[in-house]
Amino acid sequence: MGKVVKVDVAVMGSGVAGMGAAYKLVQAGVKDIAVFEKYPAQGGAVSNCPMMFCSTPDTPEAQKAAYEVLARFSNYDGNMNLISKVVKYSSEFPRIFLEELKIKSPIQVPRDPADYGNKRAYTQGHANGLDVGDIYFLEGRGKGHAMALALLRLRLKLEKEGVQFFFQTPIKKIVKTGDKVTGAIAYEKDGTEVEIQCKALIVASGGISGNLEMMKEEGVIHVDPKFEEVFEEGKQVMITFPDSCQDGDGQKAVWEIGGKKTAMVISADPEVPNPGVRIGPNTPWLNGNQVKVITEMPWLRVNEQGRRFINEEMSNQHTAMSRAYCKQTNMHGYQIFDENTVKRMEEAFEENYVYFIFRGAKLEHIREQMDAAIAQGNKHMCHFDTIHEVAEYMGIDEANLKETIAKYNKAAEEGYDPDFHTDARYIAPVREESGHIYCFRIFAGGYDTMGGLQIDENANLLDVNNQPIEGLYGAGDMVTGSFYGEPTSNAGGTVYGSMTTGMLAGDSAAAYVLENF
Amino acid sequence: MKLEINKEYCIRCGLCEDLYPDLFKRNYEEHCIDVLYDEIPAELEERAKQAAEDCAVAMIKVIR
Repeated sequence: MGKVVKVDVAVMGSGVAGMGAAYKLVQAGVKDIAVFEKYPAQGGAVSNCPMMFCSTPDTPEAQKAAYEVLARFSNYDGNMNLISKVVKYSSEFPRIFLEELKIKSPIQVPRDPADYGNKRAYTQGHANGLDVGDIYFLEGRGKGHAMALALLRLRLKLEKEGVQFFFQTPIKKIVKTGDKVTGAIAYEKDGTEVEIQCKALIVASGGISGNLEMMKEEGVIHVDPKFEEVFEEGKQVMITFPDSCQDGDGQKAVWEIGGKKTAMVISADPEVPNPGVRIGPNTPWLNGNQVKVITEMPWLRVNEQGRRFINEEMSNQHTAMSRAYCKQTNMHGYQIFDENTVKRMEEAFEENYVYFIFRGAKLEHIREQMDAAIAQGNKHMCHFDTIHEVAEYMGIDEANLKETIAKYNKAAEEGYDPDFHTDARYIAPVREESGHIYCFRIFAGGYDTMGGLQIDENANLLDVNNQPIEGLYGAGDMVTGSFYGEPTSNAGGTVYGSMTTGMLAGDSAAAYVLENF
Repeated sequence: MKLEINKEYCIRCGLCEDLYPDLFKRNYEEHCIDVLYDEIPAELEERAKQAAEDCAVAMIKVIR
């Protein structure tokens, strides 16, 4: 015997987007709201949100500047009206997080709208976001992340308002009556079917990073099987944050009823895989050693063919760098530097170079740190006396690599890089005479996957004919392409993108339900 | 001394396992975090207290 749950609006997923939706549904006065979550806990991918958010102030000047940065970023492929709404919703963040949820923000960085889009790093509450507003650094509890605390407080607040949470109860099917979505089917842990009757459904179940098979089938991962291990739990930093249960249920359910299918990509964070790189399998923001700092440095990058592919100054810009890695064979590249560069890093940190979060970090015992990780079984780094040995160990085309290095070293001598226009200050020649050559294999990692579904400017999910499906809304990582452009940029969903689309979906579903029923 | 995790509100971020692998282990079958000891050994008591302090959502409790 199955169960029946009758509500006004059902939300699929209790992550940043789903919680943003439930928050707005309550605010709008919708009475019966239920959130269905596959995992036994709430939060979705919030464990990967750093301790900050970006908020565009609600002034015409700031709103327009942020809109323009995002519109350009999407190559005018995103839904422009949706972009405006996302930007506008972000202006509510300080009130929600700091005032209502009482999260402390000890450091705030106000940004001049005229400068939006110019600054790398941080931004949007995510390493990979765009620079489109004021940055608020948050203080969590202990060594924990503040955004998780915020989401837990939001849940407690919503529970007080009567929102029901059903954990370990994944929605697997969407029910349509005529052209309207009127319900869904979920299953409890023991297999009991739950028939959900609702007036509107908001799908916010995140990416598919918990489903390696689906990632392969959908072309999100295209790597030689010898590298597949790096995408497994705990190996590739952040790609499958352990035990995520983000299996693509939402995408599949929407596609099944005729929803439009869009491209999916890994969100961005170039990473040297574990072991030994971060301290454990779970917490990407706590590093086991300084690999992350080194791979933020603008030293030579090549692909498996031994060719350069990007201005290495983009090393601190995760979106650009990760996107570039995604395009290379096996979705990875190599950072190569010599003993002189090691001395340079150990003597002083680079002046005038913007780091991601390790600003001013001075490096110590680089070779020893590498050896420690190698001793733990890490196969993605090495150091040898010769370029030949490095190329052989890492599987890089040696002839091309030598040719590339010769050209790169020449650019260093001449102070001009005609191929990628890397600033001469950051061209670090690679010379065997220095005594030693070092190399990291860096993959296009990610916090989750982006994309799969498309929404319109009301967060209404679209069908294959670009028509909104009545009663069905979408939010979060799965719809980021709708405002970042298609194929969705791997800019990361971010609180800026996920919370806002959730809020929009909540407002739109509330208006639909309150006006039509 | 015992450590208790409130499973209803624990968000499973795994910070405790990463920082204190001698006290916690992720349980992939049950999708939760297990405390490795029923009774915390005396030499780990200080770390256990610190683990409770570091929990992102204050869901690790020290019980005497």
